[in-house]
Amino acid sequence: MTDLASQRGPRLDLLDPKEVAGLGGIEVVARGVVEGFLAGLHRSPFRGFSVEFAEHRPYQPGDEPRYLDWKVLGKRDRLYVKQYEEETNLRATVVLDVSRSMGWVGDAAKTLTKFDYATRLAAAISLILVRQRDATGLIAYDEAIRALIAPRAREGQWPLIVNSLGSLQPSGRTAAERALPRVIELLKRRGMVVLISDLLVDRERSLQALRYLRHRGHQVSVFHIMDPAEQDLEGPPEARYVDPETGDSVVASVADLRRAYRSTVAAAVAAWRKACRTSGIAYHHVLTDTPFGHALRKSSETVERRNVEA
Amino acid sequence: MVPPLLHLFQRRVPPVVEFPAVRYLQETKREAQRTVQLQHLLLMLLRILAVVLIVLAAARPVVTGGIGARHEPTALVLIVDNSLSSGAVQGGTRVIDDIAMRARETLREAQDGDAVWLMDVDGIARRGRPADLLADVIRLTPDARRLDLDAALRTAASLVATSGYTHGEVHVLSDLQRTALGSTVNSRRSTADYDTLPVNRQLSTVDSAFRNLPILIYHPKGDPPANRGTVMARPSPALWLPAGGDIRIGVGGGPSAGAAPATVQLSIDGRSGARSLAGTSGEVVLSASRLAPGWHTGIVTLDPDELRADDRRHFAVRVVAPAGVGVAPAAETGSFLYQAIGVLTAGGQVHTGTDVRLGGAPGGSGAVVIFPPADVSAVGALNRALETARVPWRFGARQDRQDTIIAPALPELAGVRVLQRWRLEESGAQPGRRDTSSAVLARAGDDPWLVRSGRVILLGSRLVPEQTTLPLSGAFVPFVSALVNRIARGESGVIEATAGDPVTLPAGVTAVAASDSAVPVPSAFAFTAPAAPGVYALRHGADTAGMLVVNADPRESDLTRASPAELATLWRGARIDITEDARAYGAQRFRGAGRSEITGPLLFAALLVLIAEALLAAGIWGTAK
Repeated sequence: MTDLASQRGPRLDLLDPKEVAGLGGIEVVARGVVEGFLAGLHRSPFRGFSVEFAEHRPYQPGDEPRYLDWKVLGKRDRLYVKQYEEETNLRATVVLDVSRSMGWVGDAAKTLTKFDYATRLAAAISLILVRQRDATGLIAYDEAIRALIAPRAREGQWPLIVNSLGSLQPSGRTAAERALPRVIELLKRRGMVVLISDLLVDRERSLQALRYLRHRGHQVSVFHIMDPAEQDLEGPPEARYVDPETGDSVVASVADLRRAYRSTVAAAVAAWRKACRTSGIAYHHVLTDTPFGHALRKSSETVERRNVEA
Repeated sequence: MVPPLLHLFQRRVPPVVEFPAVRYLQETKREAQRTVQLQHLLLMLLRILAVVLIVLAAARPVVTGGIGARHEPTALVLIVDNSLSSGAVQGGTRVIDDIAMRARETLREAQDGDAVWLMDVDGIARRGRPADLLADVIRLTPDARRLDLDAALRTAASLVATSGYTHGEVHVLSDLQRTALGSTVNSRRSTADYDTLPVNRQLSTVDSAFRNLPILIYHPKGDPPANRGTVMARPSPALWLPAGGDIRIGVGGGPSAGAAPATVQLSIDGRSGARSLAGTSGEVVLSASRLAPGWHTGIVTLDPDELRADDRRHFAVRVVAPAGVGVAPAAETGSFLYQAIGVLTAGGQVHTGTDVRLGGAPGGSGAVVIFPPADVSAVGALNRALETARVPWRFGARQDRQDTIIAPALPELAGVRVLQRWRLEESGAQPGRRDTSSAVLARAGDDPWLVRSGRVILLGSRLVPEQTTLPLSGAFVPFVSALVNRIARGESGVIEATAGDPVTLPAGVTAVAASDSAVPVPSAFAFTAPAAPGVYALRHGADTAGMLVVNADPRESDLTRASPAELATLWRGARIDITEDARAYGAQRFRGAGRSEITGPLLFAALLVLIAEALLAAGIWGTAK
């Protein structure tokens, strides 16, 4: 196994996912992506919301004013900033959709399947969490739970997750409406839940489950994985489009519906985003041609913002 | 119909594509269904419009007016042939209506800067403003007169040449009858001969009158209709006795005449008479019943066809009472003549009287028939008597030679031989005055045998078997009847004329009267026959001196069209364009200016429609939310 992190070269987190995936397996790609991502971040991306005070140090130009200790300033007329120690016992669970629709790709020569993209993204997120010594787990589901790794902060947790991801194949139907209650049952202690899915499910019922997670105190992030060909309708002038999961079909003319379809997808994404925002759920719409680093950055920024708000 | 059928019935089995986001597609289709249907309808309409525009463009339509509609000032002679044949119905439309419409189009397109002449059947070119001439064209109707196209073209060419305009055109709007081209084409060569001539020979000689003259000819579309007309209606004999007579009726129409026989009917004084079947062409003789002495008018009618105007023909006949005859002693006239007069008297065809005197010398109140004297020595005295009576004929030397009598107007003399005769010589006794009433009625060999001068008739032979075979033939009694009842009593008084043609009237005629009007005749030698067919009375004061029978020119019945080769030969040097297409005619007049062909704009519009269709089909318009 080659440790890409020790090699000097381009940052893999910013490269085309298809090219990056060609460099190796899930573990190699995830390590390379995380190394590159962390190198550009300079601080922990997923800081827990439970932190403890560590020490004071003199203020230096460039420090954020919000970390100034105003009491010390009032008493001694000196500028000190407070430093905190991150909590290391965050429980994070990556929930991965492995339904049959995740195995679809519009143009295999240009993009990864949604499943391939999602597994690598899940591995990268897991690695970041593990490196923060957070307890990290994995749940894979389609219409049932297909893989379950309980959150642990021990050594070997991440290889276990990677091996599990490598053994999964997209199949079956997406029945998030039935699978998510099972996931909720498995997540009894509050923590972070990262859902990676193409969200080709009933929105309201799925949101209901996610809101319940949020209600129980979980910090929920949703990665809405979408193939570019699902966003812009392409294909023959007229075709019968068949859903691989449900078998539903519809005859449509690309020329007739292209613009309207794009609007429909945009409206669906907007609806997901709005619903998640109102429920306190972080939502990220990610196309499979988006570099992994961009997806990770969006998620880390969201987490950071929530912590600040908290 | 093809685009909508293709659009509506184009069905195919679409390929199957695996696509996980079908739920979005279903939602899109559900929401965009109405828009898509409207888009498809719009597409169909655009495609139909594109096809229509392309088809229209292929037809190369032209429009008048608008940008580029003006033309260079032009000298234009517009010849509208509204002769009798223009009343023929061709393709459901009268020829006159068709060509008058073309004339109106041309005049509407003419500008005030143009010099425009209008010439119709009278052959007179009238110059005027286009708006005024337009009113004249609207009033045009088929006329019984005949237009000589060749003469009209030469007049038109002269007008254009002397107009001072740089551009000149002659438009001929006509059914283009071959018979309208004058006698030149009709007499010299047959159509087949012209058509087989090489073009370079046809155009080998340039007529200076037509050098480079643009002649634009329009005739109605299609072949002329089959036509048959009455080309002659003539009483036979010209002067009738109360017992009646015959009407010789000529039926013709040229090569275009129909093959089926048609009924020809006689009508005299408004009463229907005999009828008969007439073939394609030829002569029919219909007999008239007993009539009272006096003038009678009649009409012969033919079954109607596409040209009605030539299916009627007028005639007039004069009926006279049997002549009162007096006969000279038998020693002079011969016994055969005595016997014949006796037979005619017994039959009521003559009676004893003084209307006609047979034999003797000129003089007296009635007509006199003078025979050669039985005594040769009396010839000199007779000639002196003739000279005294101012008869321009005299008896010359005796001829002992056999000859056959030639007398086209006297069928009774057909085949009669003359054994001995006296030459009838013109004496020239009236210097400075030509006796218009003098006529040779029959010849024997080259010599006059039966002549008339006023009321004096001279025969070259006595009616005895020694000098002619006539007394021994069956035609003798009819001939004697004709001699005393018709020949001795002068001309019938009927003058036949063609509508609009010059006619020479007898001396003394003061007016020509129709049923409700009378036209004074200033000079009997310069009178133009009325344009309307009919029978006109020739007045001499209060008396009727004769009848003028006016009919259409029989050549108008032949609707055969002249060939382009004939026209090219007739008007050598001219640039002749012949068309039967109204649009082509419109596109060529005024050298193609004044009209703009809208093929380009139509194609451009079709291109725009196709672009719009392509954009719509590509989804650029119409389906956005």
